Amino acid sequence: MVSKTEEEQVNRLESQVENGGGGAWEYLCLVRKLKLRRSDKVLKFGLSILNDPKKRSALGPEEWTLYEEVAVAAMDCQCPDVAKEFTKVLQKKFPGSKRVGRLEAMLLEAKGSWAEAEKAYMSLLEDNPLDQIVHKRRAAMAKAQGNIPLAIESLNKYLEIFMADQDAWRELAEIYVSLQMYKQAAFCYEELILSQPTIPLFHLSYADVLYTLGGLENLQTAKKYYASTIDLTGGKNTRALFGICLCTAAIGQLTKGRNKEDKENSQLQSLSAVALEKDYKQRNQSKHSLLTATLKSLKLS
Amino acid sequence: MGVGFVVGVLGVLILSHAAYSTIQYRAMLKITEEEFSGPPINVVVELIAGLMLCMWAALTVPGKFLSILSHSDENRVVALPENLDFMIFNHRGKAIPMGIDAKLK
Amino acid sequence: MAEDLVLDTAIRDWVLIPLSVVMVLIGVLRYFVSKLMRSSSQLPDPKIVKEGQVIIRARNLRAAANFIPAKSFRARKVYYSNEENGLLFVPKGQAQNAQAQMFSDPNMAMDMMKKNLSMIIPQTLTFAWVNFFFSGFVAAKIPFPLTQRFRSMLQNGIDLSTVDVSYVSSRSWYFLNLFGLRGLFSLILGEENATDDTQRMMQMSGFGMDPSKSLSAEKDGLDIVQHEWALPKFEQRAEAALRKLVS
Repeated sequence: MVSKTEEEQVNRLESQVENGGGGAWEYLCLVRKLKLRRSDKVLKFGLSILNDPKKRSALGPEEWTLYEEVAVAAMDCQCPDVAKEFTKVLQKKFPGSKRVGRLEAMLLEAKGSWAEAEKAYMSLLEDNPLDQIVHKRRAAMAKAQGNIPLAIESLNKYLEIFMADQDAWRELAEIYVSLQMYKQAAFCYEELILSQPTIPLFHLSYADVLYTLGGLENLQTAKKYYASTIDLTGGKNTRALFGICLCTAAIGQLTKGRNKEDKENSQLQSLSAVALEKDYKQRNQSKHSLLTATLKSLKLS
Repeated sequence: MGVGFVVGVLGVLILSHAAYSTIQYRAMLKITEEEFSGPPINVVVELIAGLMLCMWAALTVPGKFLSILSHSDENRVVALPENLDFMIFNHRGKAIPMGIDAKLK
Repeated sequence: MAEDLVLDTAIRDWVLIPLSVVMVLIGVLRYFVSKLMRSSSQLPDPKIVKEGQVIIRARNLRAAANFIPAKSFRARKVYYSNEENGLLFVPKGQAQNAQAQMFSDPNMAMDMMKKNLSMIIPQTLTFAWVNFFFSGFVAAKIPFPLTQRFRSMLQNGIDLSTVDVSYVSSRSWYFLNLFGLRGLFSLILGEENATDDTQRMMQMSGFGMDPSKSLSAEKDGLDIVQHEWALPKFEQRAEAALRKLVS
């Protein structure tokens, strides 16, 4: 999970390295630790370290981790030739390693030779049928080929066994959202909230899905989850503030005429509107008029 | 670090001196055959001072306190990690060559 | 008081140091032997992996139940603990034979035996050796006084109550080495060395633990969870947070 401080630290380090200030290795470590996908930067900075024999030998055994990281980054940047060279180096150093085997299969994937990649993954699975990463890669590969039903199917099969794997639940949720299968997505987000109840972003996504589903009950629930997001972030999440306004407006529309207990809750909406206005005034003066217009239209409807 | 560490060492020294003087005191009591009713006042003062110093050092030397508020900057999650296990390479970057002519030397 | 007990330097040269060196060498040897004997890493059973994951997920549900709506919670509860095919439900007959099955698996029994052999044989041998050659004399003196309670620990093999407790008999020195060299082994053999006796003994006692028990324990825990949705409270808390932000 990336917290605010860590995000700032990454951005600071990135601009520092970009301007030749050093700290490339720290940046790469941080990116790896936070699991960010900044492949272009990783490739650039990683190469600058690996091409400098003095810096490279200073890393010690960490050198090989760096090779792997940069190889994946190169695949992501559509430079399979570079990735191939890194993989070769690793292959030489660790012959017969499964981790390098996975890397090679990923390389095949990056080149677009799906059948061969599939074959490579299958042979890896023969050695160890419970290799989580290979299972995940196969699901991702199905997604990359555009075969979403297959991706869902293999993810479901994977989650049948490894049902405590959050990353897979998250991937599945995102796929379901992309297919507009919101009920299923809501289930996945519930699962994510269960495993990590203090992460506001899961609450937020769940609320988004519920709001999209619509219906009075779902809208009320969505509003509650937006509220919990606001509580967990101290009201610094703009999307949740907008969510509260939209939910209140939608609920108001549905319960027009029979508004009874609605009055007590309107406090939250007006507060979030004020918070939004304050935030916009502070950070983006030019869009402030847009915001006032939007809020006005919401209140009228 | 420096100051706190020195203070901590000082506190430990004071505490051990208090222990030493208590032992001395008890040995002396044994010779004069009196009952041990309590440590002498200077030992008590030493103990309190040592405790204070050690406590202060223990609270400052190991590091700063972390925030437990969910909306503080250290704890507020602003971005989820990319789901790297499910990273796919068949994305729109394919259409835009990066122009990195990187080579491993 | 035996303060003027003088130890021969020959004892140091021919007992104390050789004993320690031999203990270290035997530890290293045992590490390599057990490494050789360890059967090639067998694959975990998918069923066992799944059970572990089910337990984690059910525990998550129990801990964070109040964060999901009541409907979702009820659905999940039924999914986990219904009496037909719930994930946490263990059929009666199956529960007992899990352990028997574990013992009937020849591979597993073999593995356990190998582990035991590699632990017990060298220990008995070294103990016999120490007993035969070095029994019954004082080998070292520790530099601080100790109370009488430590006598059985430090003066094993000497039945004299007049010797000061800070003197260590050779047999006790052997025991101290046997249990105290773990730190040294983790230094020279790497962190996860196989010579950790105390831990292995713990493992032995907990060996026959059967997963179905933890499943049904988790089920019982889930059955008594009262669902009380926490989210309505969050509206007030969010209001308070916003008020603080706005003002």
